[in-house]
Amino acid sequence: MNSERIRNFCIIAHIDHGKSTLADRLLEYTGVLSEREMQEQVLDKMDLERERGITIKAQAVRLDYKGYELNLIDTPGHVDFSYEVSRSLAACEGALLVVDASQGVEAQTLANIYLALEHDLEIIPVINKIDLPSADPDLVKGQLIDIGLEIEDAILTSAKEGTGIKEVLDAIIEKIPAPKDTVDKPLRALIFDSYYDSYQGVVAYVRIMDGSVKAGQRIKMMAGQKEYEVDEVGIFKPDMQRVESLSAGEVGYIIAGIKDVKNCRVGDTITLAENPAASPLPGYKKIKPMVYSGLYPTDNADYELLKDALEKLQLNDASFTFEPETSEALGFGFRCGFLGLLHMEIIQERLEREYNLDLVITAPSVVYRITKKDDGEELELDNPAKFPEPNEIEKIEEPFVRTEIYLPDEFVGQVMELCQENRGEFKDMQYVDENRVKLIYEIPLSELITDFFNLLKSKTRGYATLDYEFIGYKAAKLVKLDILINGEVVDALSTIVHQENAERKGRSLTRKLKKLIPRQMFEVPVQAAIGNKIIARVNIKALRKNVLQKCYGGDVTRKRKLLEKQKEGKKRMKQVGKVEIPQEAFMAVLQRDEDE
Amino acid sequence: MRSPRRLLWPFCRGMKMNKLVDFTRPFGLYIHVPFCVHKCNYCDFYSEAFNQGRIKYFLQALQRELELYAELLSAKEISTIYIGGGTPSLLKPSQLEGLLELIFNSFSFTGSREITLECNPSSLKKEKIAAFKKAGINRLSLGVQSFNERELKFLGRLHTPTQAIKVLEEVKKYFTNYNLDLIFALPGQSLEEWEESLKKAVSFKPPHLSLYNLQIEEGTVLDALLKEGKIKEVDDRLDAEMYLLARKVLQEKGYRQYEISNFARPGYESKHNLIYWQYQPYLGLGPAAHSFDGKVRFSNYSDLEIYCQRLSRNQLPVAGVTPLSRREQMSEMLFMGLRLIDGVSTGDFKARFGLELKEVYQDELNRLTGLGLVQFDEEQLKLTQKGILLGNEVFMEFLP
Repeated sequence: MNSERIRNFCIIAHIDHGKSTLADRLLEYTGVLSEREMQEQVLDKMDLERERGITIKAQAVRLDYKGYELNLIDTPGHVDFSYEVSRSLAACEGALLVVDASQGVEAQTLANIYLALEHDLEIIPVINKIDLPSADPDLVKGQLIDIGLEIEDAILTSAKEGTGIKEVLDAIIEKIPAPKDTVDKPLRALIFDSYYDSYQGVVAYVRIMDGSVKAGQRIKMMAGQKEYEVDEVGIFKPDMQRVESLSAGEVGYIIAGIKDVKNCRVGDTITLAENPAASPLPGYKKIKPMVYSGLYPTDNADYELLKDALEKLQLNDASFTFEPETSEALGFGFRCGFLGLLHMEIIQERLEREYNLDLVITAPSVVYRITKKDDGEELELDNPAKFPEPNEIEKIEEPFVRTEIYLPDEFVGQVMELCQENRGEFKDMQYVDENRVKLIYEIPLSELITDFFNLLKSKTRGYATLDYEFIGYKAAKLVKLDILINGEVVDALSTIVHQENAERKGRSLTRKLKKLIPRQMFEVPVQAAIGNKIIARVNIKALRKNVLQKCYGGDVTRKRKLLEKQKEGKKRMKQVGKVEIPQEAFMAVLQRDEDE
Repeated sequence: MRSPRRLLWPFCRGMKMNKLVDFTRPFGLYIHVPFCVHKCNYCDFYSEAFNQGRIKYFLQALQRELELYAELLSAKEISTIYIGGGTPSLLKPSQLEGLLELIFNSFSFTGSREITLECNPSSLKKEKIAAFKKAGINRLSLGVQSFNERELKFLGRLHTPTQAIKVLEEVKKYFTNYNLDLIFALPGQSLEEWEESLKKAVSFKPPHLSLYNLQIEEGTVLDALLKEGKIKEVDDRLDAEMYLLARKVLQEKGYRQYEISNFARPGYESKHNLIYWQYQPYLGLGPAAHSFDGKVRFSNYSDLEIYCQRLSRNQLPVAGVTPLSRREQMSEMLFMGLRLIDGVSTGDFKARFGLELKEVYQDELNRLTGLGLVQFDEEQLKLTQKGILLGNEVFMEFLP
């Protein structure tokens, strides 16, 4: 297709502002899917995405409208996934900015606008959900003007009711620039996403920036320098559909029998082996993970399966990192880095669901900077278990974030208290409108990644939203809190806490563990310690009697089921020394302590 | 979790039952009489309200069921009969006599010839006891449960301690072989109260005692009380203390513990229940009854109406059939057999499966021996004293 008649765009929005519903309407209006075929939110392909109502992975689809080819690239909305957003943006010339007419501009809206502007995208404001009684489009327009957007052409829609959809499509054609016609240049295709198919190998989602590509040609990965022969090129409608060729400006996929996922990284540039481009496209800025935790198979025999699964997941989520680590308690596993807690949960759930793995996940940790006493050596540690002895440490620094919390003003008191309890430092408070407030705090990231977010939601009945950015390291009086079970330190349970909170946290953690660890056939002491000093102790009493006593009558099946149930419970536990510890116990530090 | 391959009976209709199931050697016969005057608060066995008309209806169907199996099975010999329920002592002695006659018309009796009748002290009058004896019953199992009035009320039993005592005195006159059931670890029960009930029971010198800790089953009255928070489950430490006390008391009085919950004077072990634990075949008749032919388990509809209707059309009232894999058979043989204090004989295991027990379960046996839960030598695998208290920890190891 002549690149004049191509438009590549994405939709950016704050979570829950109706992005996926709008995308569905666009698909429906352009006849990609009949109403009957529409499963709600077609673009959210993963079960997990549908259940949580969020988009995790970027997705692409081609719409045909008035003789134009419109490529929609869907993007995730959550703060943890801004990396994914920036990938998608690089493949587009324009963006629909969706804002909820009743909620207005939110933290994430702003973040996304800045990202879009960084990529020189044409922004079309779409004020959605105008059917809601609380909708106030004029107020939203005011907010958009404040940000510096031109809003004369803002489109009012109700994706739910299907109003304004035609206007949106027309605006895409009129306002978003066509991609440059560079079909004569050597091929450069940007891989903006990919996944692994067990039959076909890697399926790379690409935006052709220059040149063209078709089946049978030899291609080269510019970063990996590996060469492959193209089996198939195609487009998304929204299912994969083979086409003759893809040329400059188009969005589609390339399958080239790539079996090793490492050789097809998202962000890499594909060129032709025969006539390679001189230089690759600018790749993505590698984002550094903020949160680390250990992932271990419950059954040590699943180590290789876990490794394989992590490699496949990383293929289309380069923001997540992993490297092998060993824990005395848990055996062989991986230290994984995530962008945030939600990201961690998503990866964990995908591993368990899509790869059917039983996992033990250790409590998340941030990256600490440690200066050692003797030689002044500086270490960066993301695993509390690896900390040096207290007497060897000169200084510990921890990452701080600047948080912006948007909330109704009636909750301000409670939220400030919450921030203070979590070592937050108050910076600013502003009214964004009549009764919405923006609170700015600087908080240690380690506090934020425990259950801060849940507490925030529960204290504000779900009304608060939170965004944060890393601002740097600050020194703090931190100590390593060890947990001993049955007299042995369980390295996977060690955490870093502030000195002043150590005792309270130690008591709370041992109490929580007592509840989580089932009774064993012997008494099990659970202790919290700093260095050699025990600061808290509880005992889990021995299991005295566990026997099915009444066992006559011929119904053996029922007795067997009862035993099977008991056994199933055990299978999900990890044997540490002589003690069986359930998976949840390793995340105990994240759980609310009712006695607190 | 593995789901057993339970075949629903309607799907097997085209198949001849004898293709799936067969008894080739003498087996135990269980008959479920599903009637009670009042359902006990802890009971989750299938039962219907007592009513003479229904009993007749049921007995007709039962006759049909006996005849159908007599035609179907190659083995015609039974070694024990156990009439349970429900409350089979609600049957008139004449009805019982008729029932036994029907059984002997269809099957011949060999071996121990034990015939047990479960009795409820509240429905057992003096005359009935003598008449049961005359009808051919040679063993009674009495659901005494407790000699404490408050506890009996809590359990929903209809008899009082005094009634139980009177019945026991009568039973002794006619039966040398009888069992007494007691329940312990009731919410609120003290160790002393348990000791009192137990000592009272022992004072009658019954040849056999079964002791159960109270198990609160789903759907019972007690389960509802538990969920409402009105009662609390007994701590397993007290439960263990009560159990150990009972073992001590009974041992001193010359009883031998032969199974986790069962105690007998030598020679008075329950032959019928031994069939279950020794993994031998048994046929269960009546609604909700379970059967096992050595390789396949099957069970009847838990509904009197469906049960009777099917039999009136000359169809077996089987609701489902579960063939067991060899691995499942091995595990069942072990977890049933380990309930016996003498445990499982390695020779029996090899004779049945052609494999050495220690080879099939090497890892499990090492682990359990290491934990001090089982004792294993060339001849026998059995629970240790510690293992008896923690039997489930052992049994589950052998599940496939």
